Amino acid sequence: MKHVECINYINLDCEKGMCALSKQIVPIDGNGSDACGHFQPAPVCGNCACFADADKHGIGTCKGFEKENWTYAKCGAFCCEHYKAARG
Amino acid sequence: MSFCLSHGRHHHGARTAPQVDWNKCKDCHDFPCTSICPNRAPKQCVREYTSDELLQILRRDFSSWGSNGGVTFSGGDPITQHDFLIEVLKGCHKLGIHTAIETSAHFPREKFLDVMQYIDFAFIDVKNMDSEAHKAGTSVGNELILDNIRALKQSGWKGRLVLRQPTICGYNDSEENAKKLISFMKENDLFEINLLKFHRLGQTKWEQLGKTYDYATGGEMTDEAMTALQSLYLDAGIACYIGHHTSF
Amino acid sequence: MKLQEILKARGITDEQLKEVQEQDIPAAAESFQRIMDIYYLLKVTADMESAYWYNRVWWENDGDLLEVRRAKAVAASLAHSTPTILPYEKLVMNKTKHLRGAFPFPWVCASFFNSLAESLMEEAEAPAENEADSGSVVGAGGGNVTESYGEVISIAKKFGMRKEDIPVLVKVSKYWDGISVEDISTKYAKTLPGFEQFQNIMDSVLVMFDSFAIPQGREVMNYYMPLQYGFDGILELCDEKIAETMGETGGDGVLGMSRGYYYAAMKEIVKGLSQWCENYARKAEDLASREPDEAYKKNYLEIAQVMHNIAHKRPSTFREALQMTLCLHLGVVNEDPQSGQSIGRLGQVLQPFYEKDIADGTTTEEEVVELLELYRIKITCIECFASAGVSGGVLSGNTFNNLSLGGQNYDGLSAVTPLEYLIIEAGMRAQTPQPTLSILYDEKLPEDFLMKAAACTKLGMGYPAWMNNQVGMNFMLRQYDPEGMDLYDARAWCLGGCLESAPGCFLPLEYNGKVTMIPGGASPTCGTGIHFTGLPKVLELVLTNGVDKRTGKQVFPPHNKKLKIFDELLDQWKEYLDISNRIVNKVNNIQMDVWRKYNMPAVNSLLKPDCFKKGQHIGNCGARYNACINFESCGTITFINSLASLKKNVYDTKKYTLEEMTDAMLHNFGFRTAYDTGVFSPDYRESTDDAQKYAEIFADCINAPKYGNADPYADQLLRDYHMYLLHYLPTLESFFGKPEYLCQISVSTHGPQGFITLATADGRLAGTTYSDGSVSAAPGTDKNGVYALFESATVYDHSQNQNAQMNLKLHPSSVQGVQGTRKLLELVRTYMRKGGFHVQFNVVSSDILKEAQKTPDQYRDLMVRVAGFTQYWCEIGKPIQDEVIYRTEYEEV
Repeated sequence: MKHVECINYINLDCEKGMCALSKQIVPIDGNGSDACGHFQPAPVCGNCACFADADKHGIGTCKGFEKENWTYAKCGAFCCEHYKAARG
Repeated sequence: MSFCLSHGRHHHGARTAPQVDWNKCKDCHDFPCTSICPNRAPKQCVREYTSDELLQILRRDFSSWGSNGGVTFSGGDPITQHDFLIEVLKGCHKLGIHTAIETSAHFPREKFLDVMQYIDFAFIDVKNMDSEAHKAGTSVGNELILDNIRALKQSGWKGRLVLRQPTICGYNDSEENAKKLISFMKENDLFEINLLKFHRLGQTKWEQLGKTYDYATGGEMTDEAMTALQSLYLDAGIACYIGHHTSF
Repeated sequence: MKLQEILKARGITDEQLKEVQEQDIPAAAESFQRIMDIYYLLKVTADMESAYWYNRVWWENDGDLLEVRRAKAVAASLAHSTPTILPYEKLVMNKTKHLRGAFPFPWVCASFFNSLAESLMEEAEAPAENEADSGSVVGAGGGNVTESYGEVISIAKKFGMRKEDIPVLVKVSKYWDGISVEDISTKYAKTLPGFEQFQNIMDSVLVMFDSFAIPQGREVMNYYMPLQYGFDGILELCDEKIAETMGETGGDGVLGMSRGYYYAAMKEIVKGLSQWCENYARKAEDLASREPDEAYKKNYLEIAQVMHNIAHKRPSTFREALQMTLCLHLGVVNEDPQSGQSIGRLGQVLQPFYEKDIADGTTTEEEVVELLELYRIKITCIECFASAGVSGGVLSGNTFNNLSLGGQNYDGLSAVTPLEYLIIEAGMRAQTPQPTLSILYDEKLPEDFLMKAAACTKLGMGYPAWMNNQVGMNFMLRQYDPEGMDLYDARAWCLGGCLESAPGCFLPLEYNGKVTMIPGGASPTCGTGIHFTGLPKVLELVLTNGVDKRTGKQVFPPHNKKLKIFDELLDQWKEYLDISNRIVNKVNNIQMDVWRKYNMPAVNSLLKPDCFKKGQHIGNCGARYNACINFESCGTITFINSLASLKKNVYDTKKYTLEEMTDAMLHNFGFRTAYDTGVFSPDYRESTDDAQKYAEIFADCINAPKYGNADPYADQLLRDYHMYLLHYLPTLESFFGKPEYLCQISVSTHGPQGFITLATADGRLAGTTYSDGSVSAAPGTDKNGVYALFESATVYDHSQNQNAQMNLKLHPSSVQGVQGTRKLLELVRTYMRKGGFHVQFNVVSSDILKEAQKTPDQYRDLMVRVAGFTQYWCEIGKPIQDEVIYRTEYEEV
């Protein structure tokens, strides 16, 4: 589990973000990128119950809408009207 | 085309400064060396104008100066070119251009007054009230200067006169000098002086001309000392400005 | 004070003495500083969220009417963008989920990505390097990601994209292979008989820019509709309009029926904008729910309230109104690759809101300044994803979101508002490249306002720049008269982009129990057309009989003329320019026409008057003024100086033949070329064995009359050039069916176009930059002082053209103290009185710039003025850096 996958992760750029709880800048990759005990999964397509059949690039199918379509696992889903968390 | 720069055509990439043979340079009039370098590394600092040419430029730029603008004749000392200066000054008055001058006032009385009648605003340096010290610092005594100022005031001149003193530590920063200057000013109904803290902005120019700069060390004034001098004048009812904090 | 008493007794006014002490500039707000600390670490980042949703919804609506389909796709991209809010923010919203984020538009231009698809996939699939390499260093390049590292791939040497986004980029781009705006327009351009000629021109970089690359921008935002009605109010209006127009032509058999579809599209885009705001409200509430700190929590909840309100209602506070304008601005810049989407006269638009809050005591000046400071960061973060040539070459990474101040109001009086003082104040405290500020200088503006603006210019950030309001108004009346431009609308003009005068109009905002006429933009882009034609390169091709000696290619048909008299030379230049213009104009017309058919503005077609009134989007000439497409020049003064040298040395003194001159230029006057040495600095010269051979001719070229010295020999050529273009350019017709006109801003193309141009007859060496701007002197050639330069610059009427550009570099010591501020203002006034259109200043010493070039890490926050915009020193390319260093520095004004 990485900071970048956490609900408390605030996007900054392609290499780092900010932890909403600690206000510290946290890297996406490498040293210091592992999440802490407060980790909760962020809403992304990959965490959605409507997401299926991901390939090696994380591209899979979105079954949440009237018309099925492809999507990708890391796509942000906070704004998605049909997002359903797959876990809990 | 040939140049007297000892490197001939100098190479900017090489970053070597061109050497100047001042003996050749002295008699030169067209300075071809200055035209070859678009960066103006060797630069012609002076240019000859006829009074008509100069007036034409002043007339052109008149519209660019704003309401407080005018022309300041400076130097060297502009009165060394007395006849030329008078021609230009007359022209300025005709055009309604405000005129100012920076002069040492170290000229024969008539020449000086002749110029000053066309001047609206004058800066005159009084470097030291002690004539000996004045001579030591400038190679001439101060009598002619002080006399000229007296004569100017008595002539009924309507312009504004601000005295100037480049203030140099150990040379003219004493209380005694200030007091003498204050009484001179009082006697002549002068009420403005501009003290200029000593600086070395002229050093590079001396070096560019291949000459030695005598004031490479010493002479610095502190802000406190400048303020202390200023209050002597203010207490005496004289408007004393420091540096560019002036009313003009 | 004693000094004043003494002077008073003597009848001398002490006005200047009173304020000899310049006021210290207060520090920026803590929130600003905290976000800027983060900003300096930020990488420019591209991601795929917005592009994914645009693509998905576009194809899901296959077969729908194009304007509706387009609006749905744009709306979806906005409504699905993950909101990012920092705990220190008060104003929120970003282009993407990243702070300096942008995304690609493959539907506009797909070939760039499709041609890279394989290599990008390979790069993305390569195993990550060791962990130590996964970080990057801030330094040269600032926030630009110039090389790939770790999990980040560099695109166009500017954007960092995460590896996991690459397969999505490749997949989305494939949909558009062969059908993007670029592809479709190229397909039809190829049917032109002169297409080969066009390609030769573009390959030589004589003209360097395709219109579809940034089809919007260089225009002014109009915030009126949502400020007046709110999003919910507009939805109701749309329904009314649909009831009124759907199924009816209104007497227009071609476009009349489109009205109903336009309003249907507007409903879609308004819903998208509203949802976007609502998402931010929800995100703020979400963050508040997990926030342990009470102060931050309160801040989040305030944000939620503001965002929820503006998602539906018209703004009811200054903060809401400012947030609304930001939302609209970001909405527009997200619907196309664009630069120069200008904010316009924000301090006049928002004054009613500011006035009410201050009167009610619900805010303070300081709170407003803080919001305006934070606004500066938001605008500075706007990035544009275009191809490498456009981002780096043209834009130097800046997106020119210009904010104008001053000018005249609807009633023809000074338009300066109290809020505008605070906008300048915020610009002084919070120093960021954007928004750049422009003063619309008019004799009616209050002196204290002008002094404040001059005090800001002095700080060295390059803003505000100074534009002549009367000249701008006259240009409006001249160019837009056939479309009904009147004095009232002329007063509403301001700068679109860095320096593109753009038409506007006033609209009645009802707020706080009264009606205020607020200004705003009233045209589409005033900055596409035939763009960036290197005038000196055209002259070079005249001398080489149409052959580009750099590449060996025949660009123009050989003229085979001896060019025995000067006029023959000039006529040939005009002929080549015309060949270029005719074909480039046709191709650009096709590009823009395809763009407007498939990619018509959605958000902007809601905002621009009179689209909503007419029921037509911008592509259908919905906007009030449409004669906005133009010809853009580059290297004017290099061209004029070259002409002057040829005229003098070949035709007047007859010292050299044209062949001898051409030979000297082809041999770079005996110096090694910059291509060879790799040093593009204009003052760098390294001799070859031929040096002596060309020494004399070089000296004569250098010493030929130069523009900028009040020398009629050169200046008359500039005047003739302008009089020629004034009558020639309107013979070219834009895709809107309107006459074209002259736009003169080089932006930063004087770098790349200088690069492809061999030595010129003025003594400029091969590959080095052209002179910048349009009336700046070539570096180091203005030897008679600044007034002589002004004299030269104003030998023609600047209101003939959209703009004229004058860059001056002042040494900081020349404008010290309050007296210095006055001097600077006098300098501006002098130029304006002479009819100069624009002047801007770099007040930073060359020594510091040279130092910053050596140690960029230590000058991360240093800013300079380039061609019409301010940019971080470390984020501009080296040739332009060299040019700025080399500009003549005025030590006295």
